[in-house]
Amino acid sequence: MIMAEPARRNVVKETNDSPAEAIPDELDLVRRAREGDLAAYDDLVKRYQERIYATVYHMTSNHEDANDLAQEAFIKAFHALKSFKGGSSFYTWVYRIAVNKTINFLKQRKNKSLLSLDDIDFNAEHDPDLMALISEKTPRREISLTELQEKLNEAMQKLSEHHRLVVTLHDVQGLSHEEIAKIMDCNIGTVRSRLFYARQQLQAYLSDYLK
Amino acid sequence: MSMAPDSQNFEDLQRLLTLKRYEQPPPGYFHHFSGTVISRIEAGETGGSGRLSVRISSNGSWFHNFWKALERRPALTGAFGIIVCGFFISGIALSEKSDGEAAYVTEKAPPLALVRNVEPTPDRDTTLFHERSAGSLLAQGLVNVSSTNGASVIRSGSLFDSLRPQSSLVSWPPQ
Repeated sequence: MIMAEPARRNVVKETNDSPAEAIPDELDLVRRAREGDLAAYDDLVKRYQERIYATVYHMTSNHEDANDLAQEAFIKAFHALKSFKGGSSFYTWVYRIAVNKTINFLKQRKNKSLLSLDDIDFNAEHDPDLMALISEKTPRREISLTELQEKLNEAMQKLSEHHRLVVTLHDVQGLSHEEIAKIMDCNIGTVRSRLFYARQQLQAYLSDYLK
Repeated sequence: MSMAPDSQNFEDLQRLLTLKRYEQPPPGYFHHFSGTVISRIEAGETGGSGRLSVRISSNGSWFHNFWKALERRPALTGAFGIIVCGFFISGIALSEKSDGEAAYVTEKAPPLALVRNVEPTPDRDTTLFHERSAGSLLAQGLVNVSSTNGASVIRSGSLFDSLRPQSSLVSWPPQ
């Protein structure tokens, strides 16, 4: 469940939905949206807009790209609703559309990435885990959160799209291996091995900030 | 807790990654998000990558990337300025050097011996024309002094030759 980790509760607004706990009226909203009810689709967008945006943003490290990709993923999903059979939750289905769209975009963009980072929420300065890591473990104690954010994003951008996606979904967004496997349409073993490799790579890139 | 570089314990990394959870879009961003999506659907958009394609192509142009790099790195901007100035100065120096070499050759070479290989003509004025003009042409660096035939070669050692009025020897037909 995406909100499982305590640190997340400070940041992301709580919503009472998840793939595992499908809201009873979600299927009704999907049915109405499929019939052209834009108000129903507006409700669906509002439910998942933050997560979809966050996933795309963490993949691109660029607010403008994330904005366009997230919007276009929802637009594409609306037009593809007729093909949605309900085999998975709407949440997983939209996620898959957004992820595929993002990966295609990143392949086109290749190395032409320009960081356009969102601001760090002021609550970060009150996160005891994060502050402890910065003040005690980091040899460069004078480093600011903004600098650390930039280094972290640069390191993320060095990962391949699939490895970055696994880290984003698991370590940043808190999804389970099973949910990630559904979104990426692969088995859990693949998710685990990609996560392990991606963490190894990140640890090497960020070694100066983790000692 | 200290961690060896090759450790498989990713606890610190995961703690560092929590920083990404605090990256938030501008305040109020999500208030308009769904409305924008619905508006774009009503406008007939299909979710193609129109805007993104434009961004990819604009990001992809070498000039755009170069300009962005100059904006972000003052040192690179300075280095680029120095290179441009260096090219300009070396162009001027090369031009002056070419002129200097021509003057040196004019002083050392016996001009009449090299240039005066024209057919003897009964018309003295024609010969005098060659004698008078050879010195001035050599001084201007316009005549290839190694040429021993009647057709003189125009030098092209300077970058600014195209800006300079050029002249060549004229052979008057014997009368």
